[in-house]
Amino acid sequence: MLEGVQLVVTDLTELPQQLQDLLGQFSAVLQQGPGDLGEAIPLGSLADGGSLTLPAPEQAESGDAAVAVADSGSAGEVPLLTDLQGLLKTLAYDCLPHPAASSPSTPAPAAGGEAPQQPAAPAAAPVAQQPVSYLGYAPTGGTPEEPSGTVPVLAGVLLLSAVGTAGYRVSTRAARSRG
Amino acid sequence: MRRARAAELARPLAAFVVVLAACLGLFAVWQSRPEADAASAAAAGGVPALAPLPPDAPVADGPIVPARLQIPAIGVDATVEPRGTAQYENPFTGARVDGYGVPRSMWTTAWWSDGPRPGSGRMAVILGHAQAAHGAVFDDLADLRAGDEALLVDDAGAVQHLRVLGAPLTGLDKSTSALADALNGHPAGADVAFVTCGGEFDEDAGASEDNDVVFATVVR
Repeated sequence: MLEGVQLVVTDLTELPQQLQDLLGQFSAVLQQGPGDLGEAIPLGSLADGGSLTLPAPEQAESGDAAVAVADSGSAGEVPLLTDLQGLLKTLAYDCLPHPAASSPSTPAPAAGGEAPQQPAAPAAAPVAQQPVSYLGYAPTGGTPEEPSGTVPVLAGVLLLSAVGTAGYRVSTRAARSRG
Repeated sequence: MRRARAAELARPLAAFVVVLAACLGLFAVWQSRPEADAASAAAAGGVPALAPLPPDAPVADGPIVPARLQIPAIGVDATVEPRGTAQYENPFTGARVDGYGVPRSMWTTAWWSDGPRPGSGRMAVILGHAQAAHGAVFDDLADLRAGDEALLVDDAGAVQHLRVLGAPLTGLDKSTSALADALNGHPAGADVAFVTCGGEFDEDAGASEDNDVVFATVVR
């Protein structure tokens, strides 16, 4: 199963390079004489929107690759081939795995060691959490920092007593003054 | 004349003493009644009578902001209020230190809101008082044992179930970095640390000498 996947990846990697080489050969032929190429590959159709059928990987590997163009027309120009080569280079660079870089599915083996057998990392791997620095002081004992209810109650008792005494004195004086 | 004047002053003075004694007596009786502790707790802004949790309360499936804590093994059923980091003067060292904000009431608890939330994958800290004159919410925290159950509930009623991990850590000296060391080196799997005071109460410092910590892990 894994070998099959690797084979496909290898083919995709090599195919654009082979196409670039092929186009390079075409350019050389065109520079020698476009008449020869016009019979084999009517390149003008590419500029007109003709479809380009890529060869199968097996064909590319075996050297039997051919570019079939659906439309016919006048012989193509060299700049078109150059542009096509550029496009293929861009495709190879941007869309295919670079041989030198390690990919998640085919990690590079460690130097002098065996290749790791770990599965590819998930796409949405959780972000590493920041460590927490816990504080070292917690004043959770003893009397809370809140007003005690005892002092106000005592003050109230004293006030009530004073008011009662004053009231008694006033009433006594009033009784005496009447008497 | 002088005797009459003295008699005139003695009566109101006697009345004052009688009324004062009566009031003090009433106050003493009122304070010594059985539910005095509960009344004191109520005056402190907390308490007790929270509605029972519905049996079909949904289970929290992620981190929560705790609003209520239940630890049935030690009879805790208290609100949880968020408290951030606060500045204190450590009475044992005299140094200004960053510490955990503590609950206003003896009967409520505080979640350290500058730290992680329970269930976030990092350990949250929940604090409660102990050793108060009329009792406090975490008085029996050090009696917890491994496997004891705790529940945290958020404002929406979602419940997070926890189990105590290991034995309580006691005797964490407040004059050292013992508490920070214990929390920073918490056991693997600890999702919540319950923190309170322990040890002897230092009258001069006006504070307990130690901290106690109990770790718990979220079980579902």
